Amino acid sequence: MNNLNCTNSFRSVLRNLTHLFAISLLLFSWSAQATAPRVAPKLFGDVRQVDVIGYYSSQQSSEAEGKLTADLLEAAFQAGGVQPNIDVLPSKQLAKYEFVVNRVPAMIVATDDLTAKEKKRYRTVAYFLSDIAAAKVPVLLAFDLKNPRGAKLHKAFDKGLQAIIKNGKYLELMRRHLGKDAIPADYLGQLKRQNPDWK
Amino acid sequence: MKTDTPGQFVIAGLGGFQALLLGLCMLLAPGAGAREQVVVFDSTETPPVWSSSLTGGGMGGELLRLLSDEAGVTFSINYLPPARFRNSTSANIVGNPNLLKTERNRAIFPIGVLHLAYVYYTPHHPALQIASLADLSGHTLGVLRGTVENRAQFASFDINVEEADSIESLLRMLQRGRIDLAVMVEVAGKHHIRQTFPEHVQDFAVTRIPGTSLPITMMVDLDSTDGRELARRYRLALEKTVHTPQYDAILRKYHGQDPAHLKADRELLDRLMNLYESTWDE
Repeated sequence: MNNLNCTNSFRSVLRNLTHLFAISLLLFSWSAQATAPRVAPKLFGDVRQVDVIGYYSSQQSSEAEGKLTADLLEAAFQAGGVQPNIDVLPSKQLAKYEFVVNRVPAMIVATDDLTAKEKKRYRTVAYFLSDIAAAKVPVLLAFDLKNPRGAKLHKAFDKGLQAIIKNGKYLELMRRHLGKDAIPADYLGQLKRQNPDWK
Repeated sequence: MKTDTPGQFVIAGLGGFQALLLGLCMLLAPGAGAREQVVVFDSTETPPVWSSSLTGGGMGGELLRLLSDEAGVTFSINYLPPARFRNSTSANIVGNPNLLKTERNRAIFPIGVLHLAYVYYTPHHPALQIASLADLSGHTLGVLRGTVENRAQFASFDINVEEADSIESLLRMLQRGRIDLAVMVEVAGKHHIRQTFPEHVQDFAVTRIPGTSLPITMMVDLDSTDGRELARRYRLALEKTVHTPQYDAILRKYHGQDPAHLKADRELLDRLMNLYESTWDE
């Protein structure tokens, strides 16, 4: 049962991505009560608390990069020994609101999503370099360490990500989703430079 | 010369040159122009948060008044239907920024918070304890039209979802037993219960849902004429007013006297400040 839940949690990222367009349509179809809040099952505590929040962006990467992100997070967290619940929202604004105001412990962000002040407030781990040919646009997981779950997740993800880089799983996933020739020779070196705390 | 008003009387009593001089002095007085300028905010009519019919304009109106008095700004509110509000391109807006479709370089100042609540009618349900979705199994949930998400999951727990076009309709459905509970903004639910069912206020139970918050904000387009100066004045005013007894009194008036609620609202407001401070022009 636990294994099933775990698989479902990670797969829900992909499922959520495919349903986002429909959700967006729902949001923009509001008329009579456009200012009313959304009513979702999670209001009643039926599902596990969300651990990691992401958002859909039309400017974001390809479908392959989306699947890669889901697999990288799954592999890294598993290697770190935790099974987080990941949710994806229709916009950055909504996701950031959940992260900052409603205290979801971690958020998937691009570097530009955080101000200098926010970068100091949250601990970040770069796990992927988008614009893959140039390996130059870091995609990060930002953790709120003041949240007890945030500290635990950060530790697990940071440790797990380094473990899958070391055991080759990271590159295996990169090659599976992006193709063998797409990854620059110094990619891992550049990724490590984005995470100066790594040994 | 007619001297119907005191102003006219004063001017009538002066010679032409003195009157001209006085007028010139009034025009050149520092800040006179700014004080006379009325800043118009677009809003929705969503009592008791924003309302033209409530004293002080509702909760948001009272908070905005407190802030504007401190900032030395005279304001008025232009109430729009929800669809027009979502598409507003006005330089100044009050409400929930997450609802706006238009993108502008807006400084967003959080001035208050709202919460969701579930409401039920105690003559039908003496005590409804909801700790999980399973607790709602076999019940009918009322929501405002177009706001429900993931109906399939509700259905999988044998929860029927009924929609209505207004909070009043939801409350009537509760009283008639057509639905078992309804979800709505807490202060709005309490307000409409008092307005629509003054004799049965005690029969409605309103329970705040933890972890649900909505921001009450005021927004200023930094690229509009005088936008940066207006934002600067409101930012300073917010810093001065947000920890005053007057501010707390407005929160208590609408959210109730529970000190735990007040403390929670203060913490939420701090987090909202963290969220939006990057939009301020410093």
